[in-house]
Amino acid sequence: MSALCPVSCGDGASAAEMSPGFKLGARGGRGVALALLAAASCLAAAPAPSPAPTPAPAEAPASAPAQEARARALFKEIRCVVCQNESIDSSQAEIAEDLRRVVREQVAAGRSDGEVRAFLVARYGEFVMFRPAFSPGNAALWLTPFLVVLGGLALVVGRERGVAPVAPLNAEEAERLRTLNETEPFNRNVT
Amino acid sequence: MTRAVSRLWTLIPLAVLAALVGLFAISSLRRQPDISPDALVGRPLPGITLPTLVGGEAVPLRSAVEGPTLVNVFASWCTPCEVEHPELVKLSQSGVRVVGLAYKDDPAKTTAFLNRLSDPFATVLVDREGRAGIELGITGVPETYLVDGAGVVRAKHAGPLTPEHAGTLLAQARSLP
Repeated sequence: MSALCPVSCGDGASAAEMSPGFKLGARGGRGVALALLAAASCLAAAPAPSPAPTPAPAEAPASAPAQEARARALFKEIRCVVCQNESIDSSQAEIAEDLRRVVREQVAAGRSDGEVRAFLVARYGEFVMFRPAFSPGNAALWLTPFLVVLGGLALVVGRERGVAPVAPLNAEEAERLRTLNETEPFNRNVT
Repeated sequence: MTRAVSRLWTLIPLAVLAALVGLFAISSLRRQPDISPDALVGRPLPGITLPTLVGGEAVPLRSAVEGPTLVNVFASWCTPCEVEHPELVKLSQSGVRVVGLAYKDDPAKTTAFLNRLSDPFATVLVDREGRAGIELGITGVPETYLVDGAGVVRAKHAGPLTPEHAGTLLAQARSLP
């Protein structure tokens, strides 16, 4: 992301954090200047957070309590795309408000939770859900490390088994060892 | 000799670990943790209908696309939009079709904004409630989408266009059929 007008993330400080900064900064002075300008301008724009001409009757909960409860449960799962560590349930950002309205409408229209999630994922990608789906790609991502460890264990066990047992000394070797021990007893490693 | 070699071997995992630590330290310090969603890239524009700024008749967003087209989401209350405005003018002067989408903005203010700065847009559609914004998956304004002649989104840029971004988009637009 970069120097978006974040449609206000609650207070001014977080709006400044949200904005530009590092990515643009890495590209040199011009980027920094642009980023700072954009950040400042977002702050300047922040006091007028409601450009919508006729503010919709703010945040009417769904009429049926069961629907409202379902909608609220969904809000907690959905990431605010501006304040990215907040759910739309707790975010004050305007776009979170819009998303809450969309979710409430869809719930009221009888869509299932899965359909509402699919609607948002189609538009914002999977990152909009705090809990990722158990898709083949995600399964591979999360389970591969365990498979690697298991594979390593299997390799170690296989090797241990593959080592041929040491053959016992034959008579000649045993005799030689005995004489060595007798003639040079102090050469043994005594620690 | 063999002992020296095996000691060397034991150092290899440590060296790899140190290299990884260095790599992660560098890459995560440079990385911007914010994600810019671009789920729409590679997919057709949403089938939404919006009123035009001039005239006010309802027009499908898809019909605003003629050949490679840039769709720019902007608003008069958004100062970064003003910052990127010269780039949009240059893009439209270089022959790319640029369509504006006025996001959550009073049409009178949008018109005043364009009168003050000049109007680089072939047409401007009005998204007063921000629903088209959600359909497009925007996280703020400005955002710019490159759409090919068939109406499929090919690239997306979030935030004001710098000359470099504009150049990249122009090159991409020219490479499209």
